[in-house]
Amino acid sequence: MSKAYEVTILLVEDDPGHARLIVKNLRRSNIMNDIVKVSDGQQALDYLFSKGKYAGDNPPNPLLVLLDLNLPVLDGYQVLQSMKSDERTSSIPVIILTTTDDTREVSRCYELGCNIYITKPVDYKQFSEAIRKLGLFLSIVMIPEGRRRYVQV
Amino acid sequence: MRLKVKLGFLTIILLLWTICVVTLLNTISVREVFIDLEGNVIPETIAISEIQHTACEIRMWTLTYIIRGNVVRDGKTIKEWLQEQWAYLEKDVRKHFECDCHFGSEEKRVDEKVVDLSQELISISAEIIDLKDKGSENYELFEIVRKRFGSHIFYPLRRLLDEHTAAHLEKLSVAGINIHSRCNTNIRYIIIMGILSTLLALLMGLIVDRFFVKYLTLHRETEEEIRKLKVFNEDIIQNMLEGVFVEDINGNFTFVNPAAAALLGYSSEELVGQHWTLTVPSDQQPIVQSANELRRQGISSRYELQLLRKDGSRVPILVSATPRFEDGCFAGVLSVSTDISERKQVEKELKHYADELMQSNKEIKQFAYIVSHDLRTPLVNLKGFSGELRSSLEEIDSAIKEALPHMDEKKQQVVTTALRQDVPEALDFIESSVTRMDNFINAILKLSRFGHRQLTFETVEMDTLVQTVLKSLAHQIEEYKIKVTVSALPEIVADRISMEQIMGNLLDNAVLYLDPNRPGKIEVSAVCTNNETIFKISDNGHGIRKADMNKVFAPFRRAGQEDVIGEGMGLAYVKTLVHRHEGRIWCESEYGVGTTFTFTISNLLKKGGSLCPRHMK
Repeated sequence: MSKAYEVTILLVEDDPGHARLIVKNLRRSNIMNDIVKVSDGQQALDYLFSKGKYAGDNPPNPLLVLLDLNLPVLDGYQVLQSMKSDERTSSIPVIILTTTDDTREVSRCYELGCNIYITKPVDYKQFSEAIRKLGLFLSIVMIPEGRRRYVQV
Repeated sequence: MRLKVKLGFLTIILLLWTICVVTLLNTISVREVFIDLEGNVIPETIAISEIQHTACEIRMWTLTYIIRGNVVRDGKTIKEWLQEQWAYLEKDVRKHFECDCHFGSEEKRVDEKVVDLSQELISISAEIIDLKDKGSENYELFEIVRKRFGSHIFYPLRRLLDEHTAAHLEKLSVAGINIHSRCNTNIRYIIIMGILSTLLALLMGLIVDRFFVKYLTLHRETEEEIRKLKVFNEDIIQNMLEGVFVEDINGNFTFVNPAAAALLGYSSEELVGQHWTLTVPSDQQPIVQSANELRRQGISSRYELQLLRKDGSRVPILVSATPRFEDGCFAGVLSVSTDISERKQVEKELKHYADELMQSNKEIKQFAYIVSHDLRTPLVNLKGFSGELRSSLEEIDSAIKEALPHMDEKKQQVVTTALRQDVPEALDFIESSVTRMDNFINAILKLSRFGHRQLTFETVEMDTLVQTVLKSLAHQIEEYKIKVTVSALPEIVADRISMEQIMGNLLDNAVLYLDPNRPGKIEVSAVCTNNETIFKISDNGHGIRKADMNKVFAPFRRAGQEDVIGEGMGLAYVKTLVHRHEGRIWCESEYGVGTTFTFTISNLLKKGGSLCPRHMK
């Protein structure tokens, strides 16, 4: 078992069940990083830009965002757009993790600057497999922001 | 008939003219005779009688002189009288001789003789006077008178003159007869002319009468026709539901029918004489002005307009306006106005419905998204946590294995049944239900996408396409020994992928729903009509019960046998796709005999064109 390294994962997911399953499966694939959970787009932006209830807390660095699309208050597209249009957050990697597999939405997300788009399969075996592979992927991915640390495995 | 009448006229006129000319010539010749009589014959006759008279006077005075000498008579001496008579005679003779009315050379000769004799008469008379003055005896002188004067001069002269007079009288008589006969002829001619003129006049009268009767009848009939037409036209204009306005060149109303007046809430009388601007709100006036420009160029047009009613409200109308011309000059505008309030209302409603439809299309699209995302989200949890449950169950199972032998038999039974049968069975149900649910969602998504996918029309050889589809079904066709007949299929303009979907689904169904108890038969055929191509796919399968017919094209419905796998969405896709090709699809079936699916594809689809999803217009 590896200890969480600096990279923090921001999980933006309105469905607590999904959030639980994602975290569970990430942990099973040995991703032990800190996972911050927020349940809507506004909270995600507040966390990223230290506003609202996160005012005063500097967001951890480096950071990686797992973003659902269909969110209350502000949806995933808006979050993505805000992040990519602000230089403080534009280099933070964003992985879209959503149930929708509509090709138009996929291309829209890539146009807005997401880094990876993953569909949550309904079938749980496939779901677990997808999250496990994401975990494996995260374990080798390089995160920008100065110090160039690997996610600790 | 007309030629004959003309010929008759011409003949009579010619005849009249001929008679006229002849009469005229006759009259002229009579006139000439008269001129001759007046100018020559009569004066000459008078002259001759004067000569005769003078000659007698000379003889008488000469004899008187012989007997009485130069006595005074009536204030003059006889000699003076004689001298005067001589002068007369000379003058008369000269006058007669100089007269140009000599009838031939004989006449001339006679005249010359008259001259000679007169000269001699004068000279002998003078000689006798002279002899008397010289004192000659009276008997001598009488002897001279008797021998020389009487027998040689006076009497021949008198005879000559008598003859002359007789000749002249003869001439007068001839002239008289001539005149008489010519006058008679003229009278005859004039009578004939009179008769002919009367005839002509009668004929003319007859013809003119007939013509006039005809003309008058025609005129009366025409007038009656015109009157009827006028009444008819007025009836139409007065009673038609469309408003009719007639404007003069300045734009003032010269006629307004009751419908037009009623449309505006005025009476016709109130509007006549008014300018059109009274009835057109100022913001609409430019429309009329530009339309009137066209009228001046002789162009008719239709346009929509709002009119101002007397009460200030507006009424939408459709105007058909045409220019009026009098003697080739622009004389104003005739416009027919139709109240289109209802149409406008309907248009408004239609637009409202169209908007609603668009909105609902949007909502459907939204719904598809919601289905794809929101309905899936709980499914992920259901599956996920039942998976988690299952793995927890396995952990419990392996942990409880050690504890199991320590339980009594009954408890062992309960725990193992729960752990190894009931719970896994419950989880199986949950999972299979979720799987089905997921399949339904995917099917709905697919249907929605078929409805919205952009179609690209190209030439599709249906023969080749159907053969390709059949190839994918070759396994079943061979296995169940199905006889597939494909008649010659045309080339059509359509979206290739849609055609593959349609044919694929229909043929799939035909194969799926065959009755295993008899050899399967499937027929594919097509007929081309003017506007569409009609395709038929017939099978001799199960057939569809009447009660199930209305479910055939509905999503998630599967008619008849439940032994066939599938989501029940195939025909819903097909229907959507056929509709997007401006076509129709229907199904005829007899239960236990077979089913025929018929669909049409419009022939009016443009190659290379594409149809956007309808709601995206």
